[in-house]
Amino acid sequence: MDFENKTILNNKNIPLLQVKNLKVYFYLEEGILKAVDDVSFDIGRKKVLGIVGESGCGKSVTAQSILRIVPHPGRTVGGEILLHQNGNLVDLAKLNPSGRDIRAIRGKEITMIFQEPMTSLSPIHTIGNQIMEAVLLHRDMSQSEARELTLEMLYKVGISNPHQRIDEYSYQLSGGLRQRAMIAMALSCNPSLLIADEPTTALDVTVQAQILELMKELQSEFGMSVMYITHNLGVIAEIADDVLVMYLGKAVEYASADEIFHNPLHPYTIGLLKSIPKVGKEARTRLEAIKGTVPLPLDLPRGCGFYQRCREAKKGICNVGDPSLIEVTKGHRVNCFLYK
Amino acid sequence: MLFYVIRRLLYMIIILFLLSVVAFIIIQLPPGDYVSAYVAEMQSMRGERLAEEEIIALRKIYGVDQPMYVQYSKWLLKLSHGNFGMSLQLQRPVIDLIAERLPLTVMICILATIFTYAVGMPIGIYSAIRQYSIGDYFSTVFGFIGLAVPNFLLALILMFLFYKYFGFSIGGLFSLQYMDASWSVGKFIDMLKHLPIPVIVIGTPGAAALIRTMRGCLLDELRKQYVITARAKGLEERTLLFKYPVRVAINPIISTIGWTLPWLISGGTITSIVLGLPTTGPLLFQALLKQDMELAGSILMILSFLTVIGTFISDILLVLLDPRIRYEKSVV
Repeated sequence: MDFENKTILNNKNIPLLQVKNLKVYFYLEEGILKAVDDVSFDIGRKKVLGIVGESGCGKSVTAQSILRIVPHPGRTVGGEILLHQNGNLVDLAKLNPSGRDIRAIRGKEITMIFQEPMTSLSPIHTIGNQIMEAVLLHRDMSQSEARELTLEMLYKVGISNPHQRIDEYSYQLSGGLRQRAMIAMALSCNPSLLIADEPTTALDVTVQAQILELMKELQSEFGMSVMYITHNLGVIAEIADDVLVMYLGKAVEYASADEIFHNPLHPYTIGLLKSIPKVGKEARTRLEAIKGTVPLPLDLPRGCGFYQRCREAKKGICNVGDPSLIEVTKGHRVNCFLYK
Repeated sequence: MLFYVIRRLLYMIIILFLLSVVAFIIIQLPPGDYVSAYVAEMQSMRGERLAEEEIIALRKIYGVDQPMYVQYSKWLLKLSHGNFGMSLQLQRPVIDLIAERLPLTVMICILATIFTYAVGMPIGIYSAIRQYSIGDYFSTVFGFIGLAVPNFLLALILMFLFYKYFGFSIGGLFSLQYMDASWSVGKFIDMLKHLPIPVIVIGTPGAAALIRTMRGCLLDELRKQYVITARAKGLEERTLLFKYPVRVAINPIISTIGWTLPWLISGGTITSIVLGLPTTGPLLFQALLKQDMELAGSILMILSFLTVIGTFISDILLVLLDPRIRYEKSVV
């Protein structure tokens, strides 16, 4: 590591993870699907970054590309994923996806929980077996120490009688308990970044609130950064410090949570916010929906990806050139021709 | 679990009883009986004509003059005492006939089973993790050919190839000079030379089917979320593969392993006839042709028994392997 980098790393303000111009393409028979196209963001230490967008906008692929587990035939074709890890700087995008280096980071420095707690645990191994596996892999512990730690983690994530649960199978647990077990597994090695890919989407509303509360508590207790992926703006308001709004593989707006909610700039963000029902609003008024659906990011025409659905679209401008992400006010970036 | 086992054992007895009825009826289905088959053979082979009284006498000796249900009850009574009866045609106790063919039959079929799994499992796994690769296409072609080519044809082709390129005497399990010799090192080596063809022929369809099953099951599992969870945990790809998806994917395969038991006896009857192997397959075939009631019935009953036992073993294995089944209410 050269001298210049060292001085930067000593700076406490340096973010934990910097993603720069990330491009993840899927090479399909029908053509190249640009799942993530030139996306940049930072995740600060002990901060929560919320990533919002509709299904298929590339949020999950962004998360997978950080861990380098993008499914075939997807490939990270460009950009940097810089992890600042106790004095070291690693570009995850350059690591071999099945190599030793990335495996040492997966499950240790960066862990992930998933949308479907029903299927994200193996049906034929006990909960304890699966959590201990991560512990034994990354921590220098004996079987019995790992089991102790697992019990402690299960207790921490609010699972009652962990001594019984540790030897149970996933199908014996409810969805909420499974997600708690997943969280226990993800936190068992003290990660510096937890990626949560829609962790509450498949759960009952009451359980959603509990899990969200639990994640907030644990985030402050463990002092980790969180990347929280969701399509639910209510959840974002609850938990995020910064927000990245994605549309069709591109970042359309990137700002602090306050800015996003109080001063949204991009027509898509404004549309999303208008589509949430609010308490106190007059009853029986129509919720505004964004018309149309997300197109497949395959052989897209030139111009802004949101052009077809945008209220503010200007023919001759928006469908001709590609907008780029520009900083409108400090820390508030938007990807729209309205702000030039 | 204990309750489950006991209940299954009770079912097995009932099923075996029903099977004995079915086996008996099937053997009796063709017109005539052993005596008429015998008479017809005498006539066509040696031109002898038996007198009416002689035929009646024969019927009485062999007991085929009695009504069906009497014959059946007698047979069942004998069976329940472990007495398999006599072969009418060969005039020897059925138990001896089966016993002298059983060791070789079992050996060939165990080797064929090992061949099936040793070939089918690795290729199936490879095919799944390298889906649509050249190797996968190759194994797919091999799989379909293995499934589609009839056993006897494969046997004939292999016999020809082995004879042409290795100069092995074809057919049978022993060369002429060892046919009736007692066991010796020379005879053993001679037998080893004859083994590959029957093992390959009998094992190939199973291997081909296993490749397809393994590939399909594993492909299903590989796409599941828990595999991604395990990968995100930092597990090495090979460890991950064998601990999670392969382990789940082999459940249906292990649970059918017990079904190979009846196949140990009947395994490739036609192959055995074509290759001239001294196994139980051709014995059953002959017995059915000649309506040799007690021999055919005994072999069929042994097959049924092995099928039932095999299924039972499979179910127990599955219960032991898959916790989802183990903990179902009906099982505990």
